[in-house]
Amino acid sequence: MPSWSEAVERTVVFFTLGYDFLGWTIAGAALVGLICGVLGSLLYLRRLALLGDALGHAALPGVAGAFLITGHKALAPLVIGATATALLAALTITWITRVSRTRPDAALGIALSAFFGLGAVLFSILQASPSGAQSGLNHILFGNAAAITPGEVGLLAGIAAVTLAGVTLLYRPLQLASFDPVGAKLAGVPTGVLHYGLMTLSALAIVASVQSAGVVLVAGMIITPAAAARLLTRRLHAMLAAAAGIGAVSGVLGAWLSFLMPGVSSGPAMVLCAALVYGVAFALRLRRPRAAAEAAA
Amino acid sequence: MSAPALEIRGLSVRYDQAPVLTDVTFTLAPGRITGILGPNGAGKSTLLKAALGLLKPDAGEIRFFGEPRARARGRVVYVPQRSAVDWDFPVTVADVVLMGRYGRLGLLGRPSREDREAAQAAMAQLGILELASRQISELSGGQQQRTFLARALAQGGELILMDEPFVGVDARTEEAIVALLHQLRDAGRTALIVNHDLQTARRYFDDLLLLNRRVFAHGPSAEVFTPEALSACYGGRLAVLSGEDGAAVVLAP
Amino acid sequence: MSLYTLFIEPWTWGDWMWRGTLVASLVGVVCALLGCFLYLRRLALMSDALAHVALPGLVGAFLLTGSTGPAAMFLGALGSGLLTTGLVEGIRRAGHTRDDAAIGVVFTALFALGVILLTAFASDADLDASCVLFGDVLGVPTHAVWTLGGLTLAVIAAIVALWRPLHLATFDPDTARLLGVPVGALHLGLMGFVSITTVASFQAVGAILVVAALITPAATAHLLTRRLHAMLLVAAGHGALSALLGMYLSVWLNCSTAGAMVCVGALLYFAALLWSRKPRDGGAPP
Repeated sequence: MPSWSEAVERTVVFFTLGYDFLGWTIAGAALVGLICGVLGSLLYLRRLALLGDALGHAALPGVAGAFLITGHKALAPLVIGATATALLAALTITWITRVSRTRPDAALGIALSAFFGLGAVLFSILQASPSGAQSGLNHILFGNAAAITPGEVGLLAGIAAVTLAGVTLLYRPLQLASFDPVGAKLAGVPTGVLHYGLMTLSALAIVASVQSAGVVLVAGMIITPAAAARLLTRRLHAMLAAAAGIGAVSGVLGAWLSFLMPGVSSGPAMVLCAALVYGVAFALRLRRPRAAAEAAA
Repeated sequence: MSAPALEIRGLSVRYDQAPVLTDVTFTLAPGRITGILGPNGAGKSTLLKAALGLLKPDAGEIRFFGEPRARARGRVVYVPQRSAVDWDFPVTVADVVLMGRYGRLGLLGRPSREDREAAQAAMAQLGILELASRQISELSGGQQQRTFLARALAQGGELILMDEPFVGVDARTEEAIVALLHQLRDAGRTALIVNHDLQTARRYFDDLLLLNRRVFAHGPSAEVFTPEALSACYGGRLAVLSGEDGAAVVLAP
Repeated sequence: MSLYTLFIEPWTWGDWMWRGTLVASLVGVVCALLGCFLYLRRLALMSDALAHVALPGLVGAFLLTGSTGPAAMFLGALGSGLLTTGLVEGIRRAGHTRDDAAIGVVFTALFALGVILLTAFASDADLDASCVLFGDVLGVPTHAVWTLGGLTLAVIAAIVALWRPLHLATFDPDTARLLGVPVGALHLGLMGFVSITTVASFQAVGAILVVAALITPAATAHLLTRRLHAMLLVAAGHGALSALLGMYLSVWLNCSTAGAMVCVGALLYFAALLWSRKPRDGGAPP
């Protein structure tokens, strides 16, 4: 634990970008929070909040597979591999719920654990292999925002741009398809295309967030800012904006905490900040129900 | 004569090999309100879903206004069962009613002043204009039902399909909904409504369709609503008492 | 390579193979039995939550007592498991957050707290977050075998003794409540058992792979059976079979045992899924 004066000093260093890499760290953490907040809100409203958990875990075998095949830690194969396995997990969940009487929550749990188990197998083979790219495992599990590279920040910025453009342009069809899928289908909205588009974007976003948030806790960044935003807002666009804001602030605060306390991974710190915001929002909401009841009377 | 609002021929649906609907055939003439009656598990909701293309039938042909469903899209309105709606979704009454216009906006369109005015008019007609900025969970059951009817109105469909619209609704709203449906019918619209309340069936609906896996009877209410036809459809689970004004019916346990 | 070297020879390599298989089978059976009740109550994902929050429980117990002994660990995990159950239930009752998201918010927050406490304050404890996640079947100490064996017996005894109330409370909680079955207490008891089992199991299979051991056998058995007691038996069989085959696979490939067990379990599930989809002769009764 750093002393108070140390903590103040490091805080000043962090927010004045005292090291070159801090600019990338802060930008990356904020982008992760923003993307996860927006996509997480859409997943939350479709009752797919825990899909973020499954996709995060399912990225692990993709990362390990890319390591095994290419033998080094290049960004492109890692992102492609992880996105591929995350998407495959999403498709598996959809397929199981369509064709069997297995319950949707169990389907999600099966896919999550099966893909994570496969990841564990591949990683153990990787660790035994001479190339020994094992040092990154803890960072993949829990995230290390400070080690983010400009290339990864660029990827995050690209995903953020696509997400924001997509949500802005397709706001109405997305709203209708999320609220009333039947009505959307009847109105000619291509709900299937939107669903798979959202899945693909989520998989990509989760993979890109792994460097900062880690595969285990990226779910927290998907679920918690969205759930907090839902408590504070009454309309979809407000919820999206609030979730993006809460996510971005939690991301930056998490990166700061991780910088402040060496050894603390950034993923858990981000999720804890988001959970604090949720706790405050929950308390505010508990104090307010009378107003809502009067409005309904 | 204009094409029937809905024409279904030889419709069969199975769930997991078990037949739910067998060889259902009927046509709806435009400008009439038809009620679908039948016991629990008769396939009433399944019939609506199959007609809307939400589940794949094993056999059968479905045409709206003489055309396949895809070409009649804007002319058909569906009002979902209240229990099927996500009332916790962050939308206001005005948002929901405006959604009725999305079908004609295309994927990237923005609502015009005309769209917003249509939504306003629909809310005014249902008497929910002052609720416009409420989040939908802050409404009573009747107000929720009116919100979805306003959406149907804003969409301007010619055929309205409703699944159990009177469940969880107070008597005043039920009367208001029926009055509105009659008004719409007089303006030339058609409605097909799944209902389970036999007491009000003859008063509310012009035509009745008795359904229990297959069609038992279909025609003007006064002709169809007979003790013989009802007990055939309900499989003897009905005690039918005849009163002065025709048949009054009591459901046996 | 002969069948002998593949299937028999590993058993001659030392008692770790025997002990590992025994531990893995015990984990498979006890998790499968508990998992059936979670699955049927639509609480499959609570197992995800409870598996994750075992970590903050362990770290908390270490920080409070300074010990990593079994008693402190079990009490810690039990405490954090019951805390999680209470928080999820509280959020659910307040009714402003969706059920699945409530689970997600609670367990990610507690898990994050656990990881931070571990790295910031308890780095001298013999706890390693990635070991907690992946486990080490072959490194399980003997006393853990006894613990797991005792736990399995306790779970079986509880199921047999409480068969009727459990059956009813699982199928129709409302009726059970009307008939005076203490549904809430059974629920808490189940959650408590799952928490303890998670701790007892994670040394072997790791916290997250406990999720697989809890969900996959139950889902497989649900596809293949029509009655609760048959479902429990098939699930237990699935758990034991995944353990045995997973053990072989990990020996052949020299890879993570827990991961191999999960992969085998998932393959068995998919086989059951494809088989159960095949239309049987005669179809449905007319």
